[in-house]
Amino acid sequence: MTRSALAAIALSTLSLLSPAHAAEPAASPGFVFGLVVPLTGPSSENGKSYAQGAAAGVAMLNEMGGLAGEKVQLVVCDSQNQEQQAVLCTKRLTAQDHARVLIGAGSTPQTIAISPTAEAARVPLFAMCGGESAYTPVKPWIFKGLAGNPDQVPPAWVLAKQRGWKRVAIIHDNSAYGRDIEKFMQREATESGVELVANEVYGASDVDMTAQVLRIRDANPDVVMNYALTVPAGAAIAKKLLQMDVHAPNIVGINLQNAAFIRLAGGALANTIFVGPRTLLGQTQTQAKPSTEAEQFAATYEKLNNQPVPDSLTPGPADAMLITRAAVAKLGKSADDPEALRAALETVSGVAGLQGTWTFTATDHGPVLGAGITTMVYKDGGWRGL
Amino acid sequence: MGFNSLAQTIFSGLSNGALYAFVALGFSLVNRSTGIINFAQGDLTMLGGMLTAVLAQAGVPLWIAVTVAALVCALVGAVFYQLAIRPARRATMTQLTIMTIGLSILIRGGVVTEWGSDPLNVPAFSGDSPLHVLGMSILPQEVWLIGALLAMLLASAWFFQRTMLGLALRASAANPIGASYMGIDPAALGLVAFALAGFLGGLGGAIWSPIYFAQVDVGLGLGLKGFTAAVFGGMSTVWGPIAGGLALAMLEAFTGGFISSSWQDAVLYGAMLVMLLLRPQGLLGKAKPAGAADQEPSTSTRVRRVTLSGHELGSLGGGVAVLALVPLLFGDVGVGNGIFALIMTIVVVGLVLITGYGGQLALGQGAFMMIGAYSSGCLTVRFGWPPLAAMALGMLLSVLAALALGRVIFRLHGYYLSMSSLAVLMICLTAAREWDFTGGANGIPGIPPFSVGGLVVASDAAYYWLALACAGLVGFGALSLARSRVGRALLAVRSSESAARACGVDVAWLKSQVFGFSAAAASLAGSLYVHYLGIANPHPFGVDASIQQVTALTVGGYLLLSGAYVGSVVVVVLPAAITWLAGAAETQSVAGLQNVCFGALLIALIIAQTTGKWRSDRLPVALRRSLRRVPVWRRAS
Repeated sequence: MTRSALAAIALSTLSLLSPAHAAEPAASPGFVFGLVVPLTGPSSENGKSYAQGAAAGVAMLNEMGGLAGEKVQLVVCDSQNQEQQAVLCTKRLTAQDHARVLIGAGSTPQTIAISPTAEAARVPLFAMCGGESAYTPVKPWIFKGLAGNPDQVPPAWVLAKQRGWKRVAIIHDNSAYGRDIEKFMQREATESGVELVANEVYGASDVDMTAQVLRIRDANPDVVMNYALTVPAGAAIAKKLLQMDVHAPNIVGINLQNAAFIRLAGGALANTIFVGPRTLLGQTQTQAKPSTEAEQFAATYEKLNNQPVPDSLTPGPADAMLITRAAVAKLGKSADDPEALRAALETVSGVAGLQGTWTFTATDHGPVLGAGITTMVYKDGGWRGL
Repeated sequence: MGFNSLAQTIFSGLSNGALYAFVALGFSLVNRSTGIINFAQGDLTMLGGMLTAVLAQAGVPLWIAVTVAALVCALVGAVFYQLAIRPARRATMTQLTIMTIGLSILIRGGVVTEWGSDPLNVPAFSGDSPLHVLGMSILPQEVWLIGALLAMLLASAWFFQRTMLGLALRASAANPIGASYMGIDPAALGLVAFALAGFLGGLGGAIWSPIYFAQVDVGLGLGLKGFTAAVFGGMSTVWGPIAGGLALAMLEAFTGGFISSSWQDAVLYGAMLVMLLLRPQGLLGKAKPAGAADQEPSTSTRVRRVTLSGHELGSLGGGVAVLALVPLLFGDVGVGNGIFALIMTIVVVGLVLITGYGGQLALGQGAFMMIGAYSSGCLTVRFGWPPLAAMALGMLLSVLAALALGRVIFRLHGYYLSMSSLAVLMICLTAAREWDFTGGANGIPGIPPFSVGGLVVASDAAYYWLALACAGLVGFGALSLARSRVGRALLAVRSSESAARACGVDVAWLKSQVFGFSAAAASLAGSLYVHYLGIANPHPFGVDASIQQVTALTVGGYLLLSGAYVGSVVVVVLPAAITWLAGAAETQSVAGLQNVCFGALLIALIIAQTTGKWRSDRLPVALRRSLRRVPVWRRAS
């Protein structure tokens, strides 16, 4: 290696690092929400739902007059479903775009991976993932923002109990999400004394689930709980169940409650029961009519996208924004002190969100949403209660 | 399991086997006539499915859509051969293989840019309602797939035994030099092979995708399975890949049916490793006569200096000193990028030795990164070890694993190392996902920041300097090794293994040593990675990461340690730069564009490197020359 080689390294490093550094935003961008989600890769469907929900959420907050008089802005960064990219996104959003609240990252390990960066930058992060380990035990800067596995598993079991389904089969993948789901299902089974007649697992990138579906058929279940991480896998299982003459109802998790699943599932749709937020049915936990926030979000979303709120991931970022709004209202002034905002978030209580009612305390950043999440079917082009 | 389910399992093995056989046939066609492992075969299959889906959605009759899809894939193969493989005549097999990785990335990027990454429904040829035969539920499309494979079997039997072209392909595969004396043009045959492989891939994909969906992400997985099937059955015969595809799919179906779906991958790749070791020629392949080992052709790359000079050490030190300024000049994002680039550099420096000097394409460095990552994770979180000790133990374990592995796999030549290292990686990934000890797919969260004797490396800048120090040390180690007896012996082995052996070089031991060094480096990188992220999970160490490392190696030049640094920076920072250039919009098409750029860059670089138009080891000279033309610089110097 010669001196000129050295010069070459230095020059190329400098020139290549600079673009990432150069994009300084204009002064006072308002209150910035930074969203880190996978817009590419196998989970891109989910990422798009989050992004559209966040866009509608920001529009809604601005219609409500912004946050403490400041205009609200959204900056989205594609994590490409990679831990490394998610961390770089978080750095970009906090350092360059001056995000004051982060929302992300679409999977449990990736949310855990970006947590230290959010903590170091002193920016509150609303976790968009199913696993509780992202916010339990409590980490000061991390808050729950999406209905998690403790919320989306029980409604399926409540329904099973109501309908008298005694033989339950579960199928999930070997990802972090799938394994977490499995634990919750097993816990529910033990608690309710229902027999888990099949517990099937497949590889996250598998394209053929015949073996698993056959074992489910042999177990002759009353209901199949198909909580896939990705839409193609979940739809493939639904179709395979139908092909193998398994006509037991197929309950799918919130990751599958979206337009892509409906498009791909074909004939299997008739047999499918979805789990999702009650808001999608136009109900609150206690009333058969939506809350004002839910109404406003639905209207804003429809105006932006020419369709009603399509799935259960869309309300996640919007809830994070409603909770932030409640915290800023408590502060009563511009929320430019991160520690004050964080402390205020820990004291919000009874915030009517789209997925349920949110109450945070210093010792609980992951409240269970309870009746906010329920079961539903897709009929005549819309979500219908059971 | 009842009779019905048994029959159903066998049938599903058969229909999956038909798909794998399509992909494997493509692999073996190209491999037998050109010696290249075409890593883009799986993506050509994916492309066939996507094209069919898009055309069918546009209202084109299904049979025309399928035909057009297969023909377009054939065209992609032919154009790639003509514009990329053929101009790079002097490239080594490793470089040509990396070029096909470039094509694979390019196809994926193109598909995402054009049609996005959403899965698409593809209409079945004759309806969706299953047929009930002997208690089995069979989709008509599965019958089509198996039927198409049978038709393909008959066609290839006819083609290879009755047509001039088929006979020429076989002759050229058996003895390329002899065949060319008989007037067979190897270049024309290469073109035919690539086009046919593209056609087979496209057709297989078009027929298979109604059973699943057409989606961009299936390409890589299909490619790996098809490649495995081809190696399993034996590349050298017509029937080998088909037998391999069926055997593999049956093994998969029965593992899934009787043992456990979660260990399916481990069983599959484990079986392939055993096959590689016991019967490298595959199930149906014929053993090569003794002494006829695959020989990597020597490259034209000159190595100017073979002993370590003070000058080089000075440059390394100076380079490290300049890079140490980065945290002072750039913000958080620059430093974050820098940390990931340095971690990748540490892996790529190891690759320079094993692939550049050793001439062996290693695709499984992720396995050693995982050993480092999980040693650090488990020992610091579960047993409270100090990070440095955990890191050291990880490196030791990696070296031991590499030496043990090296003893076994360096008996093999050519693509067998790529294949077996890939298999080891897949087994490690499965094990990490399934073991409770490694935290399963959720991994081990809560890994503390790196610390030495109470001194915690907390800030990003400090972590950057730590990574830089490690990269500098690894660079120094690699430089010493490359300029020592070991390095000279490696270069000798690369030019002629038998000549080197005749001079008393213990080839297997030599390669094992270098493999050990690269494993230690990868393990170090893995430890650094998880201490920075705070979580050790299997996801970041998959095949995608291996592809990025090989890209960095190619960008930097195979024999240049300084190239490892430049290449890693390019691979980590280029996506950010492309996004920045494409505007603030973070859309699907930007990510697609990134892949298109990477794929095109890989292919173009290898063409440039092998036609002598651009050589990374000439970069400093070219830079000096152009700088001399700048008046100010001239005055200053």
